[in-house]
Amino acid sequence: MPLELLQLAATASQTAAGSGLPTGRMLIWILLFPLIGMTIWGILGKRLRRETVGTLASLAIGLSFIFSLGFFLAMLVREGHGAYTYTYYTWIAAGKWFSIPFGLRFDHLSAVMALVVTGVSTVIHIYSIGYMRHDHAYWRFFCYLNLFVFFMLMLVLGDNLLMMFVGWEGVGLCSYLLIGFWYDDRNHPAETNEQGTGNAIAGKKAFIVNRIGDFGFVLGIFFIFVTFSLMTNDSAELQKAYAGAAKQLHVTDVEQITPLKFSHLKAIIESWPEGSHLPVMVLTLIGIFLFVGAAGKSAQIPLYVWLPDAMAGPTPVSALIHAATMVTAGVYMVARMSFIYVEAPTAMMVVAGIGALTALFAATIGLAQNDIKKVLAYSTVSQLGYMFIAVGVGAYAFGIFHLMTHAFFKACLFLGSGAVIDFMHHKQDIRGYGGLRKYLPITHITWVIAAYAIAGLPFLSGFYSKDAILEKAFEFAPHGMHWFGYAVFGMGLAGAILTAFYMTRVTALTFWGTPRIPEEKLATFKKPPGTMKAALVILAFLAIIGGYINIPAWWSSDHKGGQYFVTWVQHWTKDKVAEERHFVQHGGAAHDEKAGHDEKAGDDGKAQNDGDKEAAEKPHKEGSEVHEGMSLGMLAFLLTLLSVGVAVIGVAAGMAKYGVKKTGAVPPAEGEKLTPLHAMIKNKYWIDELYEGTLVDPIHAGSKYVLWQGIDVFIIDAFVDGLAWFTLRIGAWVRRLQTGLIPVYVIFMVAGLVAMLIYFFAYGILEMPTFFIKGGGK
Amino acid sequence: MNPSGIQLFLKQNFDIQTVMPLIVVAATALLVLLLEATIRGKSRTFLTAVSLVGLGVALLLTLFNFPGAKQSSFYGMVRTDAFAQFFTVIALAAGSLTLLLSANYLPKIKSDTGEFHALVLLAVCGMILMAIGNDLIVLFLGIETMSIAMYILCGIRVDAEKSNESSLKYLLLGAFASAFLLFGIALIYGATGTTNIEALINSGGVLYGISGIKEYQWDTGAYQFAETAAQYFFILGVAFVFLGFAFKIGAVPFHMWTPDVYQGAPTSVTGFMAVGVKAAAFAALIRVFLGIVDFGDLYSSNAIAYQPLMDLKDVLLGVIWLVAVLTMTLGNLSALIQTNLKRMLAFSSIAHAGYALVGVSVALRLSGDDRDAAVGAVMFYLLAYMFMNLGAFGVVIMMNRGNDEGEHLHDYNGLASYRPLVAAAMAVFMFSLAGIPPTAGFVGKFYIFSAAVSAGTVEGYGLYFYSLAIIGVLNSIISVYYYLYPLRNMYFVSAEREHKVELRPLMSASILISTIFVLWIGVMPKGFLSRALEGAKALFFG
Repeated sequence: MPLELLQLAATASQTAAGSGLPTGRMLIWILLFPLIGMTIWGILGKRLRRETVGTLASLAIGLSFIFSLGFFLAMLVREGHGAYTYTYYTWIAAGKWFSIPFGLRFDHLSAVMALVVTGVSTVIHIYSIGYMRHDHAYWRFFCYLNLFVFFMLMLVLGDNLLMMFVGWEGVGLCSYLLIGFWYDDRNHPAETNEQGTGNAIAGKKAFIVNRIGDFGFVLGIFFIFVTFSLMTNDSAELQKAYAGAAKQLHVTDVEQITPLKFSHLKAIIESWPEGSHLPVMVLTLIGIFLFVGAAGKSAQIPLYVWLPDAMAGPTPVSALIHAATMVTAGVYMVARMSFIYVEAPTAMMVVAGIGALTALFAATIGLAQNDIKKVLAYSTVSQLGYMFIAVGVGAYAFGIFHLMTHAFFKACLFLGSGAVIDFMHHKQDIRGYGGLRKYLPITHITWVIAAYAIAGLPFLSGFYSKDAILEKAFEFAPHGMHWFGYAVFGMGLAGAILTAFYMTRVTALTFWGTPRIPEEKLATFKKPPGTMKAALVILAFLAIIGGYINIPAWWSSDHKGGQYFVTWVQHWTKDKVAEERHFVQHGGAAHDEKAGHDEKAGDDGKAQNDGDKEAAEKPHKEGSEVHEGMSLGMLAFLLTLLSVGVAVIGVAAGMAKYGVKKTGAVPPAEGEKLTPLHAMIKNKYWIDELYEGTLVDPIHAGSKYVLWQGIDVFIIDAFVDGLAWFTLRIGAWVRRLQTGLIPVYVIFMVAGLVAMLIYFFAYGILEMPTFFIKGGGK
Repeated sequence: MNPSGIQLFLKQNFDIQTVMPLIVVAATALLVLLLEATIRGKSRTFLTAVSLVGLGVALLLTLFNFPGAKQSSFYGMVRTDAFAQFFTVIALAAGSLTLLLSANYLPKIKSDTGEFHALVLLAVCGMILMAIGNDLIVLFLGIETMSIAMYILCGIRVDAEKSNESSLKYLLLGAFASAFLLFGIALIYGATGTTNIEALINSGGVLYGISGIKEYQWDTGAYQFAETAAQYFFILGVAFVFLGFAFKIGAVPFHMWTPDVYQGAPTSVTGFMAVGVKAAAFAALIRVFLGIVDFGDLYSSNAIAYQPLMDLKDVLLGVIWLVAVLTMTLGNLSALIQTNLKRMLAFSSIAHAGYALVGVSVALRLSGDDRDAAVGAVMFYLLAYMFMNLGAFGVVIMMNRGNDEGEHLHDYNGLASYRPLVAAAMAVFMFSLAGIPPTAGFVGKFYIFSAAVSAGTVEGYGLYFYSLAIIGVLNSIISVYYYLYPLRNMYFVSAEREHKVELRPLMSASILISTIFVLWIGVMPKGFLSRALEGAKALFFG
């Protein structure tokens, strides 16, 4: 079993080293390597050789990865698998109740994230050595990339919401810098206007759309503080909760509890006194505000529009930031705050609903895109939708699981597309490809593996994670509304068909069939260097095996083994479904007291579910309701068959339309007439134009004509300029006093003295010298 | 074995250790003169080295071998407390930096004489005397020693008309101010029978004793003759002494000489004057005037309704308040329209004296730790100001090509493109002078204005001190305009022609040291501030 093997390996390595486990204090090194790297490339990079910068930058991230791995192994062998936490200093302190530590938290959830981030980053850094080999700003690229990893690790490892927010903004900044990396770009001359080059505009768009999301995130943080700080709320329940939390956290004084710290907030909510209700309305609001932030960062409806444009950045950036790591930060954040979402079913509905809509909607757009990276971009949006389905239906650990497998196969796909683009001299249109398997065999194999993984074909990683998500969605019933779960499931399933279809389409058009440009020309193109191939192979390997750390429950003989990954992550997340599963399997013996709060466990859920055809119900004795008539394993198995079925259908349809040799269809060229439906999805439902027309243009016009040319020029500027003019006039007047004549200067001095004496008299400490008048002495 | 009576007497009153730095500097000055007379036709770098060694030894003595706290000697004439130590260090550092700056500058203006070094050293002697002086006579001696050296230094360019004008103006007006100062000292002596500051402050009884009247009725007649006269002389004396110090500080309206004198003097002398003379004058001002506040407090603690001297504190506060406001505002407004960088810095130095006066005015009202904080802020500010202003003058010197060339703002056009390091150093100094973090100037202003705000919390003084802080901040904003102007020229305007800017080692060293200290103080002010606070605490008699 992998877990045992890992434990064995960890114990062995530890014994070999002859030293104790690492201490929490060393956590900072995970962050420091990229930061040091960034500083050096930023200052000296220009003078160093390209290979040096690339190799050492990869090494810096590699060291971070090794440290993360070390901590992970240490956690495995540690008693109770306890998390590593360390508080370095008080970062912000204001008054008695507001104190934000600079602390790191390497727990079950962030361990996974840190490993994925550093691991995938290392591979992509190595790839970039090859991919960016011709770029003149090589050092700048690696500087930004290392900075990005630093901020991403801060986001992941920070032990409170504010540190997470700093990381959150930091990765946003790096994203902006890297999307516009080729800001003087020649590739998009048509899009260049007075606002900048096409790439710069794309960077700006990403930044601005993210600001909208971040505003929601900040509001969420504010609400959390206002609701859960004793500074602003001294209700009896909260005080009791604080007392309970203090006991749970083993702190002596409630003043040491700060509600912006994850562990403390969790303890407060878990210690909420029996018999009084959590403020569900506020929690729902908090959940929705936080999700607005997540939707911005993770490109969900309606804030997804920046991600496809972000493909303007170099391809390794698309792979690292816009597929594997940064865009998944929203999912991570929701999983991190899972203890809030489980108490707010309405917020969960919003998350799951938006996730499902996005999963389906983006998949439809992906059907008709002809730019290889745009297809992958919409695919990313769609897959992020699946992750939000998972965290929305309360299967947080499965969301993180899909996040991880997606990081592997999507990074592999992006890097594969990078290899193709590099080979094809930066042409990105799949209509100009075809037949590349002959020229790029390794890229082709890795691509096919990753494409089938994302399509959800069995035995590849994507299958395990996506299938599990759909299964959980099926069981989801917020407020007892089973139809909602079915709808989410249905949309997910439809999205899965489309995913299988468009991935087959892009694979066939790129690698299969006959080349659409002359073969003799293709033969002269340069093949990608070894570093790029190595990265592809590593990621394809991970895309195959990544799923096996969490095999479906029904695979194992006793129906509970195999869920290593999910069990691990559930140390932090409060997976609703998993809990119920847990006590179904154990006959309800291990009942969590929180289940009493769960809406799903309510009394009204039972009646609605009676006619369910997949599973005949037998009410659980705790009142919790699951599909139990048919054995749970059976239901899961049927659902799995269903999703395998749709994946196969999607692939088959794609093969039939595009994959058949010679007759394979090629999408119509630009300017050809399209059917209305085709035109609609090819033009992305004209959403960008809609936003442009309804939001961007009015705001732009308002800013330009009212704020700038009106208020700024006529009121503010006029006032400031007038003040400056006035001040200068006074200055000029004062200068005239400076005549250069000594008598004048003396007069001023004497005048000053006289004025001082007059003041003394006026104040009364000097009086008219009566003693002179009245004659001296007695 | 107990020391015999005579030994104890000598130890208490002729402790040579207390004036050791002074002796070292004075001896070096004489040595330099001797060397100048004996060694002819050689480079004056040797003299610079000798002078620097002397100053260095004195600096080491001051820093590491300064007599214990509150020790007074020579019959109470000098007092070597942490306050004196702080200002001695400023004087020595200012002298050293000035000599470093001058080493390559003097040949350029054809004034490469040995006297220059000796005069700078003698001026430093005067400043040290002002820092350690505990007697009005000693302070006067210090001021005159310093001033006479400065008069000559201003006119050291014998062939330059402006330099002569500068020297003459300074001499005439300085003599005028000194006369007032001396007259003021005489009046105070007449009223109290002492010139010793410590005695003066402890002499509540002396002044009171002159009258010999126990129950005082304010509205009765000639009966109170003696007492009223003493009080009258005393207050007049205070006003005259204030004029004397305010002249040296360059406070409005006694500032009129500064632009003319500063502009005419050789630039390194201007820098020296702007920081060294000012700091020394502030040392004397703080020692005398904050002492007098204590003097007033003594009366209140004696519970004698001696209203006039109680009020003296408030009146002085009002005077210094007004002077501070006028000084800041006029200095900044005048600097605003200058096109010659040297003249602009001269006016700006007036404004900086105004900021420091804010701290003095605040300290007059506060007591205890708050007062220490205010005085400490002034001391800290003067230290920070020394480095940033001498640094800025250093860059001006570096740009100078003999005469006045290279001083105009447009001479700085595009400097950043061909001398990026010099431009960067200038940027640091300008940011610091404007009070922008993370530089020393920001921290200094922050401490001063926050002292003003904390004084504003004293009942009944809110309007006084909040308005002072606000006016100070507004002035800072005005100053940003003219400090950033050279930066604009250096970084955003392209050069019509590149000026020849020589990076000579000594001069560069001086600028480098200033830059390091400006940033060091700005980033880690704690150590410097705690030394200043120590000094402030030592100042007040317990």
